[in-house]
Amino acid sequence: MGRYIIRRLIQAGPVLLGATFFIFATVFALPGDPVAALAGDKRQDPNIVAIIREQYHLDDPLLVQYWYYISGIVFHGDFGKTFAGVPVTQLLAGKLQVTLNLALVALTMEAIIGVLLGLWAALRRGRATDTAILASTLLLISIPTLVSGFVLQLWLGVWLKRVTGTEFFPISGATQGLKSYLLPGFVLAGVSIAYLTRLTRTSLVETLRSDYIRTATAKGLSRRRVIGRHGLRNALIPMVTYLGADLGSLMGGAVITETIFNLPGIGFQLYTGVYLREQPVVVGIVTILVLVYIVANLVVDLMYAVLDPRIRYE
Amino acid sequence: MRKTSLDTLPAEGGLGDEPLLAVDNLHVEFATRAGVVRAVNGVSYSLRPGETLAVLGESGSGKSVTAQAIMGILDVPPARIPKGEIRFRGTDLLKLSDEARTQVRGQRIAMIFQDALSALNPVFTVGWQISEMFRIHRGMSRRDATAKAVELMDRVRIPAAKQRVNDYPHQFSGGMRQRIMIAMSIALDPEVLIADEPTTALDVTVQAQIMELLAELQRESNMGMILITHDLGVVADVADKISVMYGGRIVENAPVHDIYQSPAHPYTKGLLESIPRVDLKGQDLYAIKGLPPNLLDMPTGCAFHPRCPYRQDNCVTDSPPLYEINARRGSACHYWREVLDGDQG
Amino acid sequence: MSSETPQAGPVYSETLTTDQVVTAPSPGRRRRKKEGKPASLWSDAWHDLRRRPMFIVSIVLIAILLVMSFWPSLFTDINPLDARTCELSTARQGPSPGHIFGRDNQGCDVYARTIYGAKNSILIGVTTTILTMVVGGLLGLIAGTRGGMVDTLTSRVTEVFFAIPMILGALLITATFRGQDLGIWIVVMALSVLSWPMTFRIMRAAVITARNQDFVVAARALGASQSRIMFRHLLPNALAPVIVVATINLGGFIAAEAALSFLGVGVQPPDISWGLMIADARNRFLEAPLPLVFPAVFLSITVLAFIMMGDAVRDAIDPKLR
Repeated sequence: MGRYIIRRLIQAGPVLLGATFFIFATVFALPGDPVAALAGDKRQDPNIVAIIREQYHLDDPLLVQYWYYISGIVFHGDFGKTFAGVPVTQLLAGKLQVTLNLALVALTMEAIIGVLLGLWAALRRGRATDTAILASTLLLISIPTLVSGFVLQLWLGVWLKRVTGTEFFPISGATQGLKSYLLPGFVLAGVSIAYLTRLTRTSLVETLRSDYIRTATAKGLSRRRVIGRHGLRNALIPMVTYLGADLGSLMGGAVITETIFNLPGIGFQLYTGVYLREQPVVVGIVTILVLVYIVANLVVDLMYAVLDPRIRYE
Repeated sequence: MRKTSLDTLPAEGGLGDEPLLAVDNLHVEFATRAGVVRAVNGVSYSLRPGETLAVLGESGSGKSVTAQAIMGILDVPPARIPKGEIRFRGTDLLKLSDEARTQVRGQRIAMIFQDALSALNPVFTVGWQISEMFRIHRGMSRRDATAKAVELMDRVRIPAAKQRVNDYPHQFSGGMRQRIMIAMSIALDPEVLIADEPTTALDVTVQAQIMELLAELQRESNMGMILITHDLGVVADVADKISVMYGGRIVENAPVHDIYQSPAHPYTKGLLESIPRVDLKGQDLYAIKGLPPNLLDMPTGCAFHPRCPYRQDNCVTDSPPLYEINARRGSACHYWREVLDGDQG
Repeated sequence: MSSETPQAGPVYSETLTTDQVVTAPSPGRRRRKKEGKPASLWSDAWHDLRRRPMFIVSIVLIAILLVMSFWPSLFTDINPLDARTCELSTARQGPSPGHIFGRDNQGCDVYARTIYGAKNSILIGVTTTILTMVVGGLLGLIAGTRGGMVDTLTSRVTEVFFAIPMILGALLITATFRGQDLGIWIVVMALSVLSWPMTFRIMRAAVITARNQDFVVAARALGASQSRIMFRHLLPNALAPVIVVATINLGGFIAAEAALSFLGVGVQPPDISWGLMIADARNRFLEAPLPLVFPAVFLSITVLAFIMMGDAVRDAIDPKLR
């Protein structure tokens, strides 16, 4: 088990370096002069420009800049400063919270709805309920966030409020606590709900066909115990691993949802960062997301080992 | 299934003339996309306490399906039992309620499966899986149940049972896993034990040990045992009587020594002749020609006629009944006399 | 189930996570033709597909969309690329004769714009799919066949790309090359760079499965050259799962193009794209939803058509996954 974790950690290193370098190089090649963009229409003092350029190592070669950046993160936990002098970590702290909240709400909805629908379909396999659930997963997968976001905003946000006179689902901003996240959370979770439903269904159906389920029945256990204890425990393995890995994808995929619902998250921030050519902000955000992805996958690997003794004792 | 109250569960105790378990004219069919598969067509056999019945046949002969029908572990649908009775101590199991059936399963009639690696749950320790029998059916505490599990593992001769009780199935060898399977099945002293090809997945040396263990456990407890196999060699030492199945029917019933001496059905005869023997070294090994019957498209008349060296015209049209040879023997062959005498038709 | 119990139905296993789609086609299902020649996987799959309503519906939809993207004028007399067809004074007017979907914020005909929007979606979706199939497939084929260092190295590289969120990565790439006037090809490039690893992974896994099968081992033992083994034996056997995933991904690429155009880094005006139309209609969406709803519906149906086709092809090629 210890060896397994260490091997996973060692594998994560190059991925992190490679991904951040790719992002860094892309941002490095972004067109336009960031310092000029910073000043807007005002005339700039060439001395100040020189100082800023020096401070941010803007005139050094790509690899040197990358080295300064990555060593700052690794040795000081420093993700750099914006051109306005604000540390990127400070700028992003609040935004990261918003995106994380959004992703967690989405993940919770995904887990509850996806698992329940999947179980229901599996236990009614081949019947009308099953067919209906499968058909709705197909629809859910096919409707892009861009569409579901606006449609639900109009329907559950505006129309429902107009008809009932009460605001169940705020349609903009993150000022009303959990309530603000319900609608965007569902929109973000949409496609994932469908995939988890399919995965849960498949996984349980497959498990219920296995020999050890037949053994459990032959032991004289009730159907409830056979499915609930012997079946679910095994079917859980792919479900939990999928959910774990999905946290990273949800955070990385939140930009459209954040834009539609005006949530000040990191996706939204990245979007503005790209336009302002704020290298440290852009690279910082993507680095954080890559880190989330890597950590989530590590956690998934560990969960896998915890849930499946065959891996644990490999 | 008709509902019957729980108190109609068969009582333990003296049986008189009634056999412990009697399968009577059992039919099982499966609905598949390609059509209805008649896997079992009127099988009957019986079992007394302490007796071992070997059910012999190739895959598709219906031997395992019959066993699964007895256990009540067929998936319904696609499976269906249109006809027949399975009497356990005089009570027809097929008429019991689902709850009553669950009470019989595992506690009164237990089963061992072929491949213990896939038949044991990979995510629970063997101790947990064995002790589950005591926890669920006897309401024992976790601790007492685990102690019982260790006891059982000792009884089936798993070395260092106490240390290994918390290991997972994949950490055991094939033979040891089958012993765990056996320990689990005999946990609640069942009256009938069905062993479905218990040694097929094992090495030859281990096969003998497992068969020996089963025979010993049976002597100690006087349970009736149904041993399902496709291997005539395995059954000679342990079985009292043999039922040979072909195409979902029983083609021959006989005490074990009779069948080895003089088979009364050409299929049995073919099976016996295809066993390698030391005294016939150097000669060609006999093989039954042709293929097992297609269950979706069974031959007319006697299902074995396309492969039979004794075939006459009426074999193609008339399905043979199980002719009585004597009180303990039967053969479903129109020409059983010729087969017994050894005349090749 | 014991060896004797007749298989009651297809074994179920279906999911769209890339790792799991890689199940080699089951040889047991291949039907035999009357002449006794084994039917190929594809003709077998085709036989099965023709009976699937889901497949037929998706094929019809895709055919309509293809016609729409090559000959949009068959569907409408208005050429929305001509600015003179718009009248600012009629902005956000509801449906009327001649303008059945109404008019957008600029007073342009929503129906005509929606029809003309199909071209970019289909073009970007199809070319991205082909590009990822060629690049990812070829690299996967080589990595899977060669193994060793080549495999380790390429596999590590794919992991790097897997770690980068798709939309954010594409946003960065398109923003970087925005000044170069590459048109829609920048979108194709950004999406391909980030998604070839998916095809790579599936191809590699399928090749490795096929590599250890007896017929390949035999071909190697008989002295067949590496490239012959690769293209004659491994590729045909590994192609099925790649094609399935590529079809499903095509729907995803179309959705991604819309998202990028919505964010302003995809298709640029005056060119038309459903994502752009949604972005334009957005500000007045709550008062005039129709200019947003129509492109949104077309977008969803297009994505649905490709995902449905992918689902159907997967089920036909590999009944185990049904």
